Amino acid sequence: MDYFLQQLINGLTLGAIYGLIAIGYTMVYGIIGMINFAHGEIFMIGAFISLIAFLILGPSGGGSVVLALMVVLLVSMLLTAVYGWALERVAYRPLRGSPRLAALISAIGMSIFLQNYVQLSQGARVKALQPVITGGMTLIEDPKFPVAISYMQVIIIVVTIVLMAGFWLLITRTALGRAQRACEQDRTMAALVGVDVDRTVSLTFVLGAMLAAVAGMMVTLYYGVIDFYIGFLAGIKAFTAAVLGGIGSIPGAMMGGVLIGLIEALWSGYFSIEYKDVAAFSILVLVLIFRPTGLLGQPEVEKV
Amino acid sequence: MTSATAAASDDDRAGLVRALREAGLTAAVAAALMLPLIGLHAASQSTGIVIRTRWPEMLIAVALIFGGRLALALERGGSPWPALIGGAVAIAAALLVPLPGEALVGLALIGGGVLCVRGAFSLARDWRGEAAAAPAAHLAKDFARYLPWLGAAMIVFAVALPLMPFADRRLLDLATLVVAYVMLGWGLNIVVGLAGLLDLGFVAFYAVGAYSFALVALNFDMGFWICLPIAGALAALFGLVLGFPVLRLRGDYLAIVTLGFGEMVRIVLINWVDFTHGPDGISGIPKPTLFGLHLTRRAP
Repeated sequence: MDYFLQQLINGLTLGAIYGLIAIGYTMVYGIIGMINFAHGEIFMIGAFISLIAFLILGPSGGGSVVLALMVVLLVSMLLTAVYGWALERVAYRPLRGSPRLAALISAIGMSIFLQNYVQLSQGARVKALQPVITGGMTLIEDPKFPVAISYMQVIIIVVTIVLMAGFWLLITRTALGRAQRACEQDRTMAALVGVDVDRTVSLTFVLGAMLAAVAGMMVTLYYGVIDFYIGFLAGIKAFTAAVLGGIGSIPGAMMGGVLIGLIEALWSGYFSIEYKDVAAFSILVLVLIFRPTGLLGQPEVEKV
Repeated sequence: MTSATAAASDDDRAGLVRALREAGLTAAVAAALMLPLIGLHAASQSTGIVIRTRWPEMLIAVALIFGGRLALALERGGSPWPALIGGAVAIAAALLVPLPGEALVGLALIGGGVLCVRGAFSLARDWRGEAAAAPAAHLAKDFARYLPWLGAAMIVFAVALPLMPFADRRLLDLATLVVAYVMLGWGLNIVVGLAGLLDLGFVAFYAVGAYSFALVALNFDMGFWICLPIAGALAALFGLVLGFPVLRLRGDYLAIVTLGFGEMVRIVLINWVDFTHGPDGISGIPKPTLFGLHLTRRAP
């Protein structure tokens, strides 16, 4: 039982990170109906920018750890957002209105380009960061198997919940969220009633990139090791999470992320760590076979 | 008269200001993009990671981008000369001035080339009027008529390639790879092009074919010509097994599930060490023979 609880905590942490990336996928899919395969690379760039920011601030974090965290978070969100914006502007906007496959191939191309760009500019070696936040607390004092949660895990879960709440308010309460939902339903009609579609799509990419940057920073802090290739698997997993929750649905993306994280952690804990990705994808296949629109997705009406 | 020239020069100035603003914005975005990953470098050292800077490279790149965008904006505004001259200067600088970094040389060369082409095209259009675009369509039609002949010529070339004097090992290996990719492209065209199913895990079948040939040939001591249909049949069987559950899905769900399957096959092949030798791969696969002739790379 204690072991199970521990895996639950680990899975929840992992799932929070996947969920943050998955929101970027699901938003972009909802609004322009394409799979943004380069989103995993945006996450990787966010991780690299936060690593560099931490290195510049120095091992002490410039005096106060909390302040350093805030500064790094802001810097990496801002600079990664520029990457998200430029990605949409360069690779996707010229292809809007062309066949779906064209945009998809452009996305895969951008994904490979960004991977190689970081590999060339930052080197192919694995980058390690000394732990910034250490320590934790023991939840259950069991001599056989104490259940512990580290402060880093607490921070990840709390930040994710706060961001989700803020994001939910943004989507449901603000003019931007309204424009976004309008574009999701019908882009032409939204443009006719005065919604600036290009601006809304750009902002969607910027928001997705910001959430990916947060996830990247948390991975940098949590694992302490990143390289230029982390975006690929994280991207596939997060996309799996988005599909699992029903693509286009933001609560679904978060839920899918947590589910994927839990499946991975429990599978690694009880069966084998090598096949944890296989487990995650198998669950995805099973869910899709029995519920082809994901857990919270709306059934797609095929227009003939 | 004077008022007309004044208005024209006002127009010019407004166009220049607009072009300058556009170029400034582009340069600012480029600077923001390059600041963390080009300007700063987390270099791995034996003692750990240190931050190095590459400000000169980054500044030169931003300046190149500013100039290029300015010339492009002016070209769009109707004055092709800045693009032509700027492009030529960029190419000359790339060739003559020792720029720090190969990427910068590439940027200057490619950017300069694009500028020159754009400038030359717009100059040609100015001279010949709007009809300059028409010959392109004509050219495409001619090309389509000669396409079968071109294909036949290329097949002849492919057959004759190993006998050419310039055909060395590297070239022949490359040509073999090209033909293998052509075959992959055919297969993908059946699934994606003709059936319209976006299959992102297509390479899984490539892996199944390769591994089934290698394992059957090694474990059952069979020759290439028996293994060839067996490998094909096994890959087809795998496709059938995969198709039953997956083809209930459509569109992007199909895409992600096939992507997941492709990844699963890779992970299983890497981790199932007893069966596939894992990341070491399988070596010592017998070479194919043709009626007793050994098709090895060099003469026996």
